[in-house]
Amino acid sequence: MERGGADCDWGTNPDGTEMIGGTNVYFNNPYWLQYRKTNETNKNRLTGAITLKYDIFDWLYIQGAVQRDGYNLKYKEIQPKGAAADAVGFLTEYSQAFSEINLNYLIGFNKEFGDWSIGATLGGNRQRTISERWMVDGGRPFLADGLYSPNNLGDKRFIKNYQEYQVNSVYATADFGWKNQIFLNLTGRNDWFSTLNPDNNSYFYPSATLSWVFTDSFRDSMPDWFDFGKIRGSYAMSSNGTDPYQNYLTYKVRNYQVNGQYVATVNNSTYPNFELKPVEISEWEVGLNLAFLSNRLSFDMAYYTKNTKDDIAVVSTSNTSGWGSRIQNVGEIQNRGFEFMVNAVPVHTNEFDWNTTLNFAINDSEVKYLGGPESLIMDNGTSNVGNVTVQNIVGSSFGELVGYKYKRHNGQIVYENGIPQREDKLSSIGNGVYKLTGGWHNQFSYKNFSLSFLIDFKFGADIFSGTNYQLVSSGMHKKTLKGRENDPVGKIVGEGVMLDSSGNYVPNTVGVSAQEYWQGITTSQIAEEFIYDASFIKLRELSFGYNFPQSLLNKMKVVKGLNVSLVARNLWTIMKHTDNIDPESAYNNSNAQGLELNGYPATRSIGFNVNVKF
Amino acid sequence: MKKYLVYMMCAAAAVIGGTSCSDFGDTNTDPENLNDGNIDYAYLFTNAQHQALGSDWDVWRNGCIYGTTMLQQTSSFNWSQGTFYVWDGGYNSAYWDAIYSGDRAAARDIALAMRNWEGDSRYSTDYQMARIVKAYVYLRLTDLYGDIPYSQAIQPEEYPYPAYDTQQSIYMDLLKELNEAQAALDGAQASYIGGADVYFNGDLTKWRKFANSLILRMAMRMSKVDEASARQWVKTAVDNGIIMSNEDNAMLQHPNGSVADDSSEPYGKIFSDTDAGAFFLAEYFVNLLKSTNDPRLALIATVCSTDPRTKYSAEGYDYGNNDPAIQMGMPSGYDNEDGPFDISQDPNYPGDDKYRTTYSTVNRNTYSDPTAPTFIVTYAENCFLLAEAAYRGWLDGTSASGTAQSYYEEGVRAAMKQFSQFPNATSLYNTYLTDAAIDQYLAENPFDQSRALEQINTQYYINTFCDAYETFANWRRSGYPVLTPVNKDYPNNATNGTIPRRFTYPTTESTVNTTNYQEAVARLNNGDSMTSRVWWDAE
Repeated sequence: MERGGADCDWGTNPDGTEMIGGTNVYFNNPYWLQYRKTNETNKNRLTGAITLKYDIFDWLYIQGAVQRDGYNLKYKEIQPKGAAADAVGFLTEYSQAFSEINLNYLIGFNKEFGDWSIGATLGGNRQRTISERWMVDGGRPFLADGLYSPNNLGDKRFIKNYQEYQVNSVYATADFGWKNQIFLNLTGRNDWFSTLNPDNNSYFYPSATLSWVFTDSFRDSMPDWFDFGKIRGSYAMSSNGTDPYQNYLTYKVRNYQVNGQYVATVNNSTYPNFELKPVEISEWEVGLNLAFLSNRLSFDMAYYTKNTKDDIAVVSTSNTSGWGSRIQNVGEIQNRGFEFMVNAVPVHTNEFDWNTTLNFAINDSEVKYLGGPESLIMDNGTSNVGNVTVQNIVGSSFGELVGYKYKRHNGQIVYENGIPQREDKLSSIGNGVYKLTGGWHNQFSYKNFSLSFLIDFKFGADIFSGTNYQLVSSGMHKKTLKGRENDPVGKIVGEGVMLDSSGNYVPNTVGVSAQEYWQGITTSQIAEEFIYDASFIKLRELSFGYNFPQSLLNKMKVVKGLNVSLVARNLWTIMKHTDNIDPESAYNNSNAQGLELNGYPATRSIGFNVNVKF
Repeated sequence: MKKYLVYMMCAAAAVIGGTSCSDFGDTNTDPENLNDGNIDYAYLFTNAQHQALGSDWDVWRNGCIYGTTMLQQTSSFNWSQGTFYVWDGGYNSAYWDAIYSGDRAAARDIALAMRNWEGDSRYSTDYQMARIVKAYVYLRLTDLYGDIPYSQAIQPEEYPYPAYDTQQSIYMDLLKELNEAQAALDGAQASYIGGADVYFNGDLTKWRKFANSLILRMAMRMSKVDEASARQWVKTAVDNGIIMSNEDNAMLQHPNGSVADDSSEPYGKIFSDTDAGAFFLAEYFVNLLKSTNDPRLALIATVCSTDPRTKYSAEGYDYGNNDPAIQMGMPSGYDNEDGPFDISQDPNYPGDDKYRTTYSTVNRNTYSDPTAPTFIVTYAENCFLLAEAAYRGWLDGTSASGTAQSYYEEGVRAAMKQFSQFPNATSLYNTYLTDAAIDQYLAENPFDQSRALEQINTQYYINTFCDAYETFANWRRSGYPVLTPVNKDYPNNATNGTIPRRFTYPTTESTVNTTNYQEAVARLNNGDSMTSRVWWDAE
C-alpha cells in the first residue's frame, strides 16, 4: 500500500481510529491525519474599474470613476471523526463575500504660463467596504460516517458575521513647476471615518513636496557623465481609522441551553472605546536621486522622520477588568530612518550584461509617550512559554522584549544550591524589530540566457526562542547533554557565584544534574538564556532563464514572447545566530515581533516558470 | 455653455464634499449581533449563574488535575501536577482566567447585569439575586487565590489595571452584601426574569436560605483567624434561616447535558469524556469508605471491566460494576514511567495490563455523569457546619437548638439521601442507601465527642466530592481529614513535598498589572507560590 494514498491504513487502529504513540491525544499521527484532517480554501476575486474623463477645455478636465474590488472566499476545515483528540469530529465551513467600492470624481486643471507650469485638482471619494460571512463554526459531532457536510452535524453552530465601514474623503492638489527644474507639490485631504466617534471622526492632513532637478538647472556646467540629479524635501500628514464596531459592546447567544434556558455573553474580547479619534501621522523626508554615465550608475537615497500620535492600538489590560485588552489611542511614537539604493551596470557589451543593485534601509524608533503608563504590552505580544512579552516602553525603541534575566553579582551569575537564580523583576532583554534590512540583487545576461540571484539581509533584532526553551526544558536540546548519568563527571557546576554561610559571594561549587540545572532555569522562566540575535544573511532567490529569440518566435504568428526559467527560493542561509530555528520564524505578523515557538521550518522551493506573451 | 458647466462642477464638488460627509447613520452598528439596546440581561444573568460553577476548563485544571488529586480523592498517572505538587502556571490560574474575562466570565456578566438593572424598578428583586450570585463568584475566587481584585474589578474604563483587595476586606464586604441582599428579598416583589433563574426559578425563600447558607460557610471559614466575627455571623445566618432540607439544596440541573459543549456537569464531562480513564479513585478515599462500610461506596466508585478510556460519546462506554466488594483505590504518589516513582513499587499493583480494570474509577451513574446536577450548597454541608459550631458552643443564643451529635447524624442522613438527586442513580440508591443501611452506618460509626472535629470534617470531605474548591477550602481550614503528603523529592516539586495551600496568580498579571501584582504578592508569606497561606488559613 503506497504511503501517499487516501486509502493508506498506516497509523490506523483496527477500528479505523487514529493510532497514537502514548497517552497524549494531542500528539498527532500524521499518517492517519493525512487526507483526513483537511483545510481547503477557494477564492474568486474580481477587480475592475470604469473611468470616464471629459476634457471640458484643453486645460480643464473632469473625471469620474467607480472601482470595485471583491472576492468570494470559501473555506472548509474538517476534523475527522475517529481522531484521538476531538474524537467526534467537527466542521468549520464558511462562505465570505467581500467587496470594496470606491466612487470618486476629480476636476483637473493644467496650464503653462511661460516658464511656469501649474496643475491643480479637486476631488472626492466615497469608499464602502463590506464583508459578509455565513459560517458553520466548529459544528459537531458528525452523525453518519463518511459525510463531512453541515447537514450531517448534530449541532450546526451557525453564525453570520457582517462588517461594513465607510470613508468619505475630499482632497485637492496644486502643483507648480518652474522651467521643469523646480517643482512644488501641495496636497490637502480631509477624511471622515465611519469607525470613529461621530463627534470626532474627521481628519485633515496636508502635505508639501519641493524638488529640484539641479542637473537641468546647471546643465551647461554639469559634466557629461552626470546625467541626472534631483534633490527633494517633503512634509506629509496621514491618518487612518480602525476596524468597524470597535466603539461599543455586543453580545452573543450561546448555542446550548442551561437547564432549558438560553444564555448569552459578551462578544467583544477587546473592550471597545466610544471615544476613538483619528491617528495623527506626520513625516518629514529629504531625498536625493543621482544618475551617472548614461544611467550605468545611479543612486537613490532618503532620510525621514515620522511621528505617529494617538495611534489606535489594542493594548493589554488585566483580565480582571473583564477584558484582556482594550482599544485606545495611545501616545506618540517616532520613527527615523535612512534608505539607500545604488544600481550599477558594471559590464555592458553586445552579448553580456551585468546589472547589480544594492539597497538597504535603517530604521530606528522611539516611544515618546504612551498616554500615561510607562509601558504597554502590545496585542498578541505575550509568549505562550517563558513569560516574555513584547512591550512599548517610554524611551525605548518600539517592540522591546521583556522577560526575566539571570541574577548577577558583578556580572557573574548567582547560584543557589547549584541552580541559577533569576532577578526578581522583569527587564528588557532585547528588541524584536530589525534595524537594518536590505538586499543585493545581481543579474547576468548572456545573449538570451540570464542568471540572477538575490541576497537578503537583516540585522539588529532579537528573537526569543520558545522552541529552544521547550527543548531545553524537556532535555532534548544538545546543550543539555552534559551532566547526565553517563557523563563521567555526572553533574554541572555552574560558572558563577554563590552565597556562603557568612553572606559573601564565593565561586559556585555545588554541582547538580543536568535535569535539575536546566529545568531550574525554565521553571524560573529565565528568558535571557533563550534570546538570540536574529540577524541573518540569506541567499533568497536564484534563477536561471532563457528568452526565446524573436527570430524563432516570428515563425509562430501568435506568440510574441516566450521565456522559461528555473527559480529557486530560500536556498541557503549564509549566516545566522540561532540554533535549531530559522531567525525569521517569529510567529506574529502583527506589530509584536520577536517571539517564536514551534513553527514549521521555512521551505526551500524550486520551481519552473513559463512566461508567454500573446 | 462650457462656463456654466464649470460652475456646476464646482458647485457639485462643494455639495458632495460639504454635506453628509461625516454622518454615517448606523453604519457602525453591527446588524448581526445584540447590543446594549436590544439585549435582555437575563441571558447574562443565567450565564453567570451557570459559569460561576465552573466549566470543564477550570474544573479539569484547578478541580481535577490539582484539586481532587492533591486532596487524595482521585489519583492519576497522567498528571504529575496534582500527584507530586508540580507547579503549572496555566493550570493554577484556570478559574481566574475563565471567570474574569472571556466567554465564561461569570464575574463580568453578573456585573453587567447588575449595572443595567440597578435603579430599574422592574428588576429590583433580580438585582438582589444578582448580588448573591456575585458574592458566590468572588467567594470562590478569593478562597482559591487569596487577595484578588474585587472593588476595582470589571470597570475597564476607570481601572484597566485593578488593585488587589485584601481577603479580609473582601470577606467582610461579601458578608455584608449577602446579608443585605437576603434581607431585601424578604417580602420583595416577584422576580421579573422568571425561568432565567436556573438555581431556584424565582423562589425567593430558597434564595434567602442560599444566601444565609453562604454566610454560614464564610463564618465557619473564619474559625481560625477571627473567632469573634465567625460567631457573630453564624448567629446571623442561623437566625435568618438556612437550607435545612435536600429539597432546598442549591443546585444546577443538567438535563440533556451534552459533552460537546458547556451544557453538561463539568466534573461529569471530564471524568466520562474529556479525560476519560485518566483519573481513578485514590486509595485513601476508597479505604476511608471501605473501612467504615460506608454505603455510599457503591455510588461513588465503580470498576470498569473494559477500558475506562472509552469516552461517553463513543460506542462501548462502560458504566462499570458498582459492587462495593470489588472496589479498590489507586495509591497516590506514583507514576507509570518505569523510573524511581513507578507504581510497580506498590505491592498491590495489578500490573500495567490490568490496572485499568482493577482500580476504581469515579462512578458513572453519579459524579461521572454529564447529566448529573452540580451541588452548590447542600443541606448536609450546613448540618456539618452546624455540628462544628455546636461543638464549639457557638450556637448558644441562636435559634439553632441541636447538639453536635444531632447535627452530625442529621448531616450524615442528608448526605446519604442527597444521592437520590442524581437522575441516573435511582436503582443504586434504592439498593444501597435504604434507611436501614443509613441507620446501620450510624450505629457502626457513632459520633465520638473526642474526635468530633475529625468526624464532622471528614464527612464534609466526603459530601463535597466533585466540589473540589469547597473540599480544598474546608480541608485547609479544619485540618481534617489528616492527609499524608506525597513527599518524594520529585523533580520540580514546588511545595517541598507538602500539599498546596492556594493557587498562584496568572503569570500575565505579573507583566500586565505589575505594580498591583507585586503589592499583593508582598503580602503573601511565601511569595506567589502554592505554599503561601490565604488570610483565613492561619497556621
